[in-house]
Amino acid sequence: MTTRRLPVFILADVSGSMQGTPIESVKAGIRQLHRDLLGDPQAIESAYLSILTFGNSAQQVVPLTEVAMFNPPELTASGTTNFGDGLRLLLESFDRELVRTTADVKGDWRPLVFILSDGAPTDVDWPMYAQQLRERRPANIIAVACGDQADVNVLKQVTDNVILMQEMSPDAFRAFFSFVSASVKQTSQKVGAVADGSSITLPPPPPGITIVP
Amino acid sequence: MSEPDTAAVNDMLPAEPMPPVEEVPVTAALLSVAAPVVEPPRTAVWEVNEPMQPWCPPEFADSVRQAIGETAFDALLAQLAHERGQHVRVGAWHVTGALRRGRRHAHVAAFNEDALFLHANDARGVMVVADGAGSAPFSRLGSAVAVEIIGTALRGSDTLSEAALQHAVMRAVAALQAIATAANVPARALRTTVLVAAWEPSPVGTRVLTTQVGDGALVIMHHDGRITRPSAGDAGDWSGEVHCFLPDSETLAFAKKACVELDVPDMAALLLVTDGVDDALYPFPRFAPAVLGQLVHGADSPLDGLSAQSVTPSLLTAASPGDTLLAWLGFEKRGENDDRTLAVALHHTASTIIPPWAPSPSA
Repeated sequence: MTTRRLPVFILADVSGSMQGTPIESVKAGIRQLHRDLLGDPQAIESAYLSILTFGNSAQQVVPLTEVAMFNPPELTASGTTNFGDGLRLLLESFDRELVRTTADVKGDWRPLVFILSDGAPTDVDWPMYAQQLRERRPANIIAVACGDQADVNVLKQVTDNVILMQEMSPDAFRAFFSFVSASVKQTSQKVGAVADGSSITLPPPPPGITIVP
Repeated sequence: MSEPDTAAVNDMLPAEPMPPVEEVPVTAALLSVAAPVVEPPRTAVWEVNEPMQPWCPPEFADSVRQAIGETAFDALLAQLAHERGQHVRVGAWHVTGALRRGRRHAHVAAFNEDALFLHANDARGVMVVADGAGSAPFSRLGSAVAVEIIGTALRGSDTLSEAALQHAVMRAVAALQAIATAANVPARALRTTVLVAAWEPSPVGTRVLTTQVGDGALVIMHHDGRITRPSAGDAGDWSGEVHCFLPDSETLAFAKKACVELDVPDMAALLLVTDGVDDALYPFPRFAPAVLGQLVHGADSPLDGLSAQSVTPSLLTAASPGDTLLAWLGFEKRGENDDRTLAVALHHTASTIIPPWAPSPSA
């Protein structure tokens, strides 16, 4: 018998426009998230974190790792916004790392994915992967449009759950990662199947972060 | 768990006008967040906290009282312990049930969302267990009302039949919908699973009637050690996802599909568990012989895959079988901290039929 996991993926934009305060804030936020989850016994026993990034290309900086063994990564920002490669890598990670329920094995909790982007894609393949994510519904995906240059319409093609972080300030990122932490803490519970639209219940977003209808 | 301050993403507020983006330099405060360090792995520390809100909020009290009756309502309030064991010995059967608040709910000061109904006399036995959906803020009321209505209906039914079972489920659905309406909350706020088993003597042995809506497991052990599962639990690709709860509109269709009426000539045990047990011991039918071995003969070491388990005596000989089962439900497994409920009917010959459990040599 294995431990049932709550997989949490953070797919972060590390293109050149994220240089400076934004990327430092993302790194600080991931450290804050990690520390916060270490204070929650259910998260220690079930939450697993993975960090993926996309710039010129995508990479999985940290594979799915239990919270107690997770080390917040060093991230640097440069290059273009190859959003499609990020989505492709996310789908590959799902196939490689997630466990679904079978007659013999209890599967993971439905994964939580947070996608952060501050700009518009520079690649042409992203719609294909966005469509795959929508069709396969492999996770509860929350996309975060960071600042006024983020393309909300692109994120809406990946998921209905898009939130807007108006400012890219350290406080805004800190509030966002607190929201992520609270979401993780209340996610591993029984819900209706995703078909009825009730599979995700999240905490109210903090001030400065709004829901894109 | 009552979480009135939570909001579904789909119900989120409209976007506010976007203020201009402000350039913020990398500051000392920002960088003061600790740099990555390799810390030793931490272990979970669980607290036990009491809920701050009433189990039955005032806006629900009248309608719940009306749904299940004054006496049952008072009894529910009186036995609102987070942990409870029950036992009835009648004729050939030892009927025992227990429910235990999970560590996760205890840590966050939430109520036990499981519920249990037991009845047994010479003519009939009824066991009902239910597990309120974690995503439904008043599911503790939903599960309590559902087991009470279904259990009481089957206890008092003239005949034990599929029609009687369907009628009982239908009454529970109607009651939950009425309670939701009276309290001005969506019916889904009361969502709960339910597993039902009723039995009575028959010319060939025991007539058993079962159904379930949602997850959890229900198994029968026969004299030759075979385990049969009348209906499969509802499960999706991912943990914790089911397709239907009470009082969803599809409840009756699911209950009807899962309804099974059997004449069992050789029933040694009948066992119902909510997902707090089923998920920790998955797939449950494979673990059922070991679980029954422990319940019938006592447990002196943890089942395979469990990290800790209390030493407990046999339910058949324990001074307090309900408390014994409650102690048995306190087993520990990493990540499995949900509420747990188990109800079991053991034939008095079970100790000669069901072998004791022993750890596997590789454990």
